[in-house]
Amino acid sequence: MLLRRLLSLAAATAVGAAALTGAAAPAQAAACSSTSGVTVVVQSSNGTSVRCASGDPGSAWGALQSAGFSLTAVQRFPDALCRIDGFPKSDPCVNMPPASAYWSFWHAPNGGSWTYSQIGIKGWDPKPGSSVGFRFGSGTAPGTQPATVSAPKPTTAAPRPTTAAPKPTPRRATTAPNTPRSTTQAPSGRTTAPPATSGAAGATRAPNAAPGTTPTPGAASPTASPTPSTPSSASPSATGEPSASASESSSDAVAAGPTDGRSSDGSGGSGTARLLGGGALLAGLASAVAFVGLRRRQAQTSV
Amino acid sequence: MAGPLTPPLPRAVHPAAWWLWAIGLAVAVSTVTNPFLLLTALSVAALVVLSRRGSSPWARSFRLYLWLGGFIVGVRAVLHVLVGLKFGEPVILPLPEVSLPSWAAGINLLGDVRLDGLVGALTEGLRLAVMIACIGAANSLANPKRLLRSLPGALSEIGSAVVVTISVAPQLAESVQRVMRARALRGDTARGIRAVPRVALPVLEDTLDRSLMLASAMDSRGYGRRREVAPGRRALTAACTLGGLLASAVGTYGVLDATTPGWMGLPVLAAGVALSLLGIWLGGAANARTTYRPDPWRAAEWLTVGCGAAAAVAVQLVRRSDAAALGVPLDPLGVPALPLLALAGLLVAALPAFLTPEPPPPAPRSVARPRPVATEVHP
Amino acid sequence: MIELDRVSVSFEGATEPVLRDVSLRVDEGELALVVGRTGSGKSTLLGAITGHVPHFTGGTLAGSVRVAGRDTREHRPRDLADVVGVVGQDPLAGFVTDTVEEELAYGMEQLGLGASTMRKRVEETLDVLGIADLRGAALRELSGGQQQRVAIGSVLTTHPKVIVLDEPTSALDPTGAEDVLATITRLVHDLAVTVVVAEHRIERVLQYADTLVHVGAHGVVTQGDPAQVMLTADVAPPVVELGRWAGWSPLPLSVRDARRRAAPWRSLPTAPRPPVAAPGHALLDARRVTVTHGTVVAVAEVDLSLRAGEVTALMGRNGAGKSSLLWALQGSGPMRSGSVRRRHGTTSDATDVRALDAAERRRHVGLVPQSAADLLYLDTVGAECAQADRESGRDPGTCRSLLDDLAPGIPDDRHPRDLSEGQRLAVVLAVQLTADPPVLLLDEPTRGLDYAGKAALRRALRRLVERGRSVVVSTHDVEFVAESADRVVVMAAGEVVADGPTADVVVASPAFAPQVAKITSPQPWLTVDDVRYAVGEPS
Repeated sequence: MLLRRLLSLAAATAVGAAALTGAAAPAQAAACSSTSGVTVVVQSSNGTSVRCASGDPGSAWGALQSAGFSLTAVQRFPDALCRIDGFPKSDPCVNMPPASAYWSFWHAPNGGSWTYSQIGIKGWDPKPGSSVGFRFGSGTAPGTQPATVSAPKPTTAAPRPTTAAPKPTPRRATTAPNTPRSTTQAPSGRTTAPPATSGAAGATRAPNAAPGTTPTPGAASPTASPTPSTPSSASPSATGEPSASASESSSDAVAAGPTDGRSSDGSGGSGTARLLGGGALLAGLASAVAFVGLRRRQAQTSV
Repeated sequence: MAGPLTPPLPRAVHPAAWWLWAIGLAVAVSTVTNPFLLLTALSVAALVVLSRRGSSPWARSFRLYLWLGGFIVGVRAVLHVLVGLKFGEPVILPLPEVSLPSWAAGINLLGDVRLDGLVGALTEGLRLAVMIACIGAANSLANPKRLLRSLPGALSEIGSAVVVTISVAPQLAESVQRVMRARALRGDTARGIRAVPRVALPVLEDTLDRSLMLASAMDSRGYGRRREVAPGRRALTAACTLGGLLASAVGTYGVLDATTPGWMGLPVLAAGVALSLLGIWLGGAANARTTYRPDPWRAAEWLTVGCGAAAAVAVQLVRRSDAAALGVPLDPLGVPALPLLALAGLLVAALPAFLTPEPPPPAPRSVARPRPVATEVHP
Repeated sequence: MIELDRVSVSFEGATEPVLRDVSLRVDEGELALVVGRTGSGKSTLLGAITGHVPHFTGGTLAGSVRVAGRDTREHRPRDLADVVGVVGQDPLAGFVTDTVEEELAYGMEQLGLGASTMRKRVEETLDVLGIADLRGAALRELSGGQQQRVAIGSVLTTHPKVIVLDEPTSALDPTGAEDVLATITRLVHDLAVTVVVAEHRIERVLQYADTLVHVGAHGVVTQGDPAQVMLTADVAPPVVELGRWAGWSPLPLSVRDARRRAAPWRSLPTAPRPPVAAPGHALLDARRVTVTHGTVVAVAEVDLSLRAGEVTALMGRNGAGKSSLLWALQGSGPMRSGSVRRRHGTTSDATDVRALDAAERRRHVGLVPQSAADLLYLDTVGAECAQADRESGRDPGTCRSLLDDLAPGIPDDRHPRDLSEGQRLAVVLAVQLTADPPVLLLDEPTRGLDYAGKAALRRALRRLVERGRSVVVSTHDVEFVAESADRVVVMAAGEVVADGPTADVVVASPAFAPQVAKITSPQPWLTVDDVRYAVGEPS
């Protein structure tokens, strides 16, 4: 049990915000229909919801977010998931949730079966067409079968710039001339990555991506991966525009959420005020300690 | 409860009271990573130690615990850089990441050090360091030998044994030194493994001799005297002690494991502790031992324990209502909250520094030998 | 109060019993002095009274021992704790707690006395022993005499009917010993406690003893009136020896009694001082030797020159810096400043002892430390001797023949720990003499030696100085100094306060004067032999 809980703690090679770059498309309230997205299954006592995170999210965390779920992390272990859509309410999300009531994380390849993840939510990079599942409880697999999808009909011959270009993990990003941070924080729209770079990055990605897609029956053309929302993928810079704004706004929302929550928790004032107040308190205590120490030392030497 | 108008006479506060106070403070910080609260608790501990520690050699040990705490924070930071989860935003130390095979997935070696993750690791380290400082405070405030003296009758012989053990260590060091010096007289200054038997043998003999002499002296002074106890009573004592231990073990398991039925948790644990205490009390009746000048337990002791408990309760209340305030917002990084109730509780724990009696002045040491005067000539 | 009825004690493996058919009786309020040679069974006799023999030591005890009506067969030492108090040789080894007050209370705590009784008795005992100002002091920081008084106090608090003391003053300087003995006599006089004391410096206690128990050879024990038993005892202090030689009857036991008998000698024309033999050339020159331990100055700028053919006695209180000076002179101990140079003949060339390495140094200056057994680490006497020959680069058998000179008849296969105190000292002495150092230093060698052992040591040292060596002996034993030293150096608080021929230094001092000098003053005699030589025939 303990091991599983530890494993559910993410091994953060990827950063949550980075995954958002893949969330260019709005969520679908059903399993994905093709290999162009990741099916997200969330099951709790409130019911089961199956949605599709379109595109290729960088992590399971990103897939959840792009599928429209709101997430809360554990305060002391920000890579661990505590609540999905505010459930469970009872957990304060400060320490690791108990082994009997936590979101267990599962994943499955296209057409496969659920596997308890050995990698954390922020570390797992779901392949397009695969499924990720979250079941609240003591670590049982989701009741819904993972999705089996086929490749969509190719509408364009362009390679998959949307998925390949912003691949955000620091390790892989070293192939791009841009710094990894700027790639992950600011989606392609603002970094204006030249097409050549995207292509090069895509090329280096290809061997990785290929095994995931080739076995699927419909994956006749591995290069074809347009997303429904993308008007045209002929120009990589064009695809960047909407995705940039979308991810920007959603990442803002996520970033703002907890901050707002905290500032309204009644513990007093803005960050600066708290910093000043706490600092003043500690300075007062430290001078009290110094005063008492000095007084006793004087008392002892005068004896 | 409140301090009397005239300051109380200097006396040592009961060591158990200091320990309970320190445990209360340690419990309070055990769930806290908020640096404001942690540093407040640390200052409170330091304040009380500085104003109420006695003159025994133990009283100087608080500094060592602070060093140990600093060391722990350092180790925690180094471990974070080596294998920690590096999350958060600004990279403050770019490092290459070592890839591990898939069966070790989830463990990161090195990798970029990021501010958020590092702050998280440091606050975790600070939490442990402050807890250790609390224990250190208890150790400096309460003479452990006096604590052992107030053990119940059935355990007093263990207390004697511990006291003897503590005094053996300096004696052992002394005889090693003496034998090393004596060896030089035989022209033998060899060091290393060859020297071991030559030093160890005389030292061992010396230690054995001393132990035998001490055992003989303790025997003739009545150590281990027992009252006649009826066999039935003895059996009852044994049953209570064993049953209590067993029930405590089962109860602890029940408390820790959520899948066991509820009655196996706290009720069994409480019964086990009660049985054990009964066993100790029954066993103590067979021992005629009394304590010379036992430390009294008066208002100051209650006040001390109460202040420690207040800190623990206040933090626990905050944890119930607003658990996030006890931590640091890490993702993204933010200024931690200032939960007023918890702060007030911790500040209450500082009251013993002012309201308990002052420690007694240091005992007069043996008359120091005065420096000789040159004119002190033999007649 | 104490009754032994046909008691025999034997230990497994021994050929003959340690005590044989002992019957003795000590009444309430009596002071019984147990005398006998080292290793004669004094400690075993005391152990039989306290119950340690055989409960603690093993062995077989035949007959019956009754203390305050309790038979030690049914009562272990801890069951006798309320009637028998035991004080050992080394007070520090018997302390259970670490401060004076707690130590005094420990025995009462074990007996389960009430809190108010304990408090009252601790205060009383602090007053009786005159240590009230030390109540909170740490036991380890006390001087030896204070420690021994606390040890006595810690058994006094339980109000025992019997107190048994096994050589309580053997580790103490003369002043400390006086304090302890005064305490013991006060117990007998004021508190009516029955005291059994074994003491090797008989001269100090003899005059107070009500009954004398003599443990002789082969475990034969005789009990009787002190003056009577002393006539034939195999251990005798100078006052008794003098009385025996002079044929005084009844035998005087105190200096005061003997002084009255010796009145005619005092009126003899004052004999001229025997001429002091011209000292040889200096062998070792120490200049401005200073030793500090932390902030404590142990030796302060001492100048000392050791000459050939001279036994020098180093005297002074515990903690006066005697041991520190000896270690600094040898070169192994710490020295802050100063120089120690070994002179070669009458020429001016000299070797800096402290610059040599340990093996080379012991060929110039040998030291027998206070706990001599620390030097021995092999499991037979033969092996120790062979090792000493190797270390010193001497022919095999050198050490053995030295040992046979010092203490004949120690078998080669004996374990050093099984030897008597005197034999062990002889082995260590032989080991150190194997290197044949011109200067030999001995730190408290007389501790635990009886009169015969001291005489043997004296003869051995005398032979050394006759061969042109120089010997320094640090000791508290004034009688030993009077008989063996040519020169006395008195130290106090790290400085030399007196340095001169034995007769000059010792006679003038109230603390260091030997018994014979006290009896015959103003005559310049120090030993019984001096008197014999001067008076010729007893009057």
